[in-house]
Amino acid sequence: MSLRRVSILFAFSTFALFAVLVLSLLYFYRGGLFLETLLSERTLFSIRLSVFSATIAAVLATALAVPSAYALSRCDFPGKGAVDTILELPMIVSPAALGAMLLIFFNNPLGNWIQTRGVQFVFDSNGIILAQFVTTLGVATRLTKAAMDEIPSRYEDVARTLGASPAAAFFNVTLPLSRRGLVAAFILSWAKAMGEFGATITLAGTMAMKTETLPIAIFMKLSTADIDGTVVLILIMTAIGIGTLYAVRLIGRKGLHA
Amino acid sequence: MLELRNLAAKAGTFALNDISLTVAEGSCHVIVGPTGSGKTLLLESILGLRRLSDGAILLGGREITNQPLEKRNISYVPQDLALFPHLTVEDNILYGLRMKRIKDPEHARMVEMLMETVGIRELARRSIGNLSGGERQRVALVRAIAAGNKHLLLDEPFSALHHGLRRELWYLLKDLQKSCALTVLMVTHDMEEAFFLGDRVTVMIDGAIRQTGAARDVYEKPADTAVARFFGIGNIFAGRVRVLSKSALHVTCDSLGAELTIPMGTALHRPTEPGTRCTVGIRAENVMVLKTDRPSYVQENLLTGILTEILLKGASHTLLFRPAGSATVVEIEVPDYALKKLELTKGNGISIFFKGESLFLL
Repeated sequence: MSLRRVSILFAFSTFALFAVLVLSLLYFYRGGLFLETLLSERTLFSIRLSVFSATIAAVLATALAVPSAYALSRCDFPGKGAVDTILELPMIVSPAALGAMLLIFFNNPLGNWIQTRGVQFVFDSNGIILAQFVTTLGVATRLTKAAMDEIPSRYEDVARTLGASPAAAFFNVTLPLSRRGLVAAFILSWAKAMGEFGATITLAGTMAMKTETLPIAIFMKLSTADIDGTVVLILIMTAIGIGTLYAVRLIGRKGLHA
Repeated sequence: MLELRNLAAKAGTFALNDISLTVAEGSCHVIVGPTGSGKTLLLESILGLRRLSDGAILLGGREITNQPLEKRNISYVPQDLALFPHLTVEDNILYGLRMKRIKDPEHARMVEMLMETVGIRELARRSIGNLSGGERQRVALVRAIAAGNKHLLLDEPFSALHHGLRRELWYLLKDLQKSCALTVLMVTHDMEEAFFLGDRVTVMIDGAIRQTGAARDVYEKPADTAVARFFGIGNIFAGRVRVLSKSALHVTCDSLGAELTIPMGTALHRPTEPGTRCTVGIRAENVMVLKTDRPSYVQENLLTGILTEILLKGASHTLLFRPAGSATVVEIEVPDYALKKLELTKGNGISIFFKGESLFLL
């Protein structure tokens, strides 16, 4: 068998693995329950909370990622290697550990001070946004940096010889040229935030109609052995996730500079 | 006027050493050198993209060494042109005007005329991705000039183009330089380009300037063996000064089995004492061929030997000549018509002579 055929076979095997997992949900799928679960106040709250918090977290993560990614892509500075490495922290430690780290932080004097004088995070919906933000910041920065790495710094140099300040060259040239990468970074961050569970449950808890995101709702349905309800929520999440990734693929197909 | 005073800069292990250069107002100065000689590093240092380890840069008498890039008022066209791919041709060209907030209608008219002159007016709404190689070069040049800077640095902007288009753009650049009164500093590895465009030419090898002068002088009198070899001059012969008279220098070249006479004040760079070793060179196109069956009145710099090879080189031919009793090969370049007139064939016995004023001492 040729290498081409073997590689295609592996690609289809991967697809088949996930397709089987999704299709197996149908075994417990009850058509009548779908709309009832989807339209229930609790599910709609979970969807709204998930979409809202994931959007805020992804916006914050992308906004913060842009200057950091620019520094990592364009500048040499002491500690650059350490900054670059720490971006992988959410991937190295488990989301639960990351949530635990946040929880421990808010039990420290500084964290306590923030909670008492500023915004409440522990067992609060703000905690969801924070947990999602922390878990997606690394990904957003990494993807934004990759997009900026593809743009030659020569463009900025030439822009500056034409009279643009460093900031103007960045906003007029580098940022517009990396827009597709930025959009992809935002969408993937958003998708990752939507599915975030470990850090969210550790920091924000599982309070129905308060901190119940879609993944937490799935967990709560499963913990009460409501398999049919769990299947419906998983299908909703899957639809949202696949729709998002399809959007990313469409953006990627159009090319960076198109 | 752009003036570089004892510039030094580093890029990894490579270094530019003691670069001093003056580019006269309204002139085109070309730096020519092999790949990796530090030409681009020098341009980047002038622009402020590289930190200088020593030296100063002056523009119109004003020191700009520590000025930010955007305050230097020097336009730059890099090798890859760096046209902004997300902007149209017009937006690329107007970028400098917008950044500098130039609202003078006279300047805008000048830019429009410039676009008209170089034939890109009708491309104004096109995106950069839809331009041909030649159109891209034109847009890059107009963008650089439209920004209002009178000083222009060009980093091999025509290197990716085929020869015909390159020549067309050379004429265009010459026209633009004169009509817009630009002071141009250009780097290239193409000697034809350098001597065609440069009022003055600097030869740079291994991060150091080896020779600077008027284009004609540099072409005719390479300063040293490295420069001569870079120019592709194969006729370089070791010798020893026999007599140094007021009118000429007589050099014995054992490798040629001949004595060469170099008139004083023509190709002589430096005074040389009798007995000292020296190197003599001559361009292949300055070697004259004589048929041995005809009487010759030439007395000096005459060599007799065998024509060992005839190689086609487009409109001209390269002949390889071996003097009698010598293993040295002399390169001769003759135009096609001359070769036919001389009726030369491989293995012929021929005489050659070096025009004294074409010989140079390295």
